[in-house]
Amino acid sequence: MRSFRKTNFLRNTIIQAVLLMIFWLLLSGHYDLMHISFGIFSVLLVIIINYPLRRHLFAMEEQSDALKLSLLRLIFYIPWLLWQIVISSVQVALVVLHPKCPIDPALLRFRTRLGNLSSKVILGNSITLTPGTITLEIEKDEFLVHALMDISSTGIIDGTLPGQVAKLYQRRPEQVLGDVEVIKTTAGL
Amino acid sequence: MITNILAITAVVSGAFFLIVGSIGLIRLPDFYSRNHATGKSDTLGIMLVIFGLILLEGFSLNSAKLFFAFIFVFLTNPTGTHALTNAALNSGLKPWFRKNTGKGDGACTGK
Repeated sequence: MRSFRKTNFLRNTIIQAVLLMIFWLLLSGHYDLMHISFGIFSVLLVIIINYPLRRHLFAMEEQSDALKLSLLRLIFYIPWLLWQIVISSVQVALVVLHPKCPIDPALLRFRTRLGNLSSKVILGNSITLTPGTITLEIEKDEFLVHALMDISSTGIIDGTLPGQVAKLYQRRPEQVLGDVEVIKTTAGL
Repeated sequence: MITNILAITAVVSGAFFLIVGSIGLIRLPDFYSRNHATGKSDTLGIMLVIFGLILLEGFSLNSAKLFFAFIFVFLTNPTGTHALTNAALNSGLKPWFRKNTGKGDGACTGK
């Protein structure tokens, strides 16, 4: 197990170095000895600075979890998310430019049974990008979400967003969302 | 010609969304709702501007750089918004609710 981890770590370091080098070559656009040696020096520096971060258990254990994600679904998920960003921006623009300013902020607390960290990160980022909602806090399985407008109009309660994230991990939508609670007063916080 | 028109449309609408984000920052009542304006409109605004510039530039090294900027904005903007609001929540800032003001639906003022 230990040696497996060690070779894994080495392999990941090499992959990271190669990716960083490609990134450097792409950004610099000069392919002479001086610029490439600057690039190699920078890549080494980045890897040395990143070393303590990657020793952290978080990165090691989550690696296998992140691979459970279905790549085919991701291809469909990203355009859907981009479209949601367009809708949400237009919605915010309408509210901001509306003379009466029809906002009705509320907080939303719910539980997920997604389990792994990377899926929670994707869910949190997606909530922030989809219309009218921002992820305020993720405490273990509990999400706290701030909604700008009427909550029923957002994609969280009617189940479109949890459905999409569930599909991404090949799970049922019920596992994504549960125990929904709406808070509309300061006392309820 | 058509690419030029598309690119100009994208850049102009991107600028529009950036302006809307700034107006929202002034008009909306509290910190959390202001974050909606900056977090969403600005993301789309910057992405549209970059998309228009990629169209203008064509297929070159500069487009690749712009494409990277596009991806980083897409990934970091929601994360930054979350970081800001989470910090506000942890330091005890209470959100503004419609009920507390007792004004019904009037103008958006946090006071």
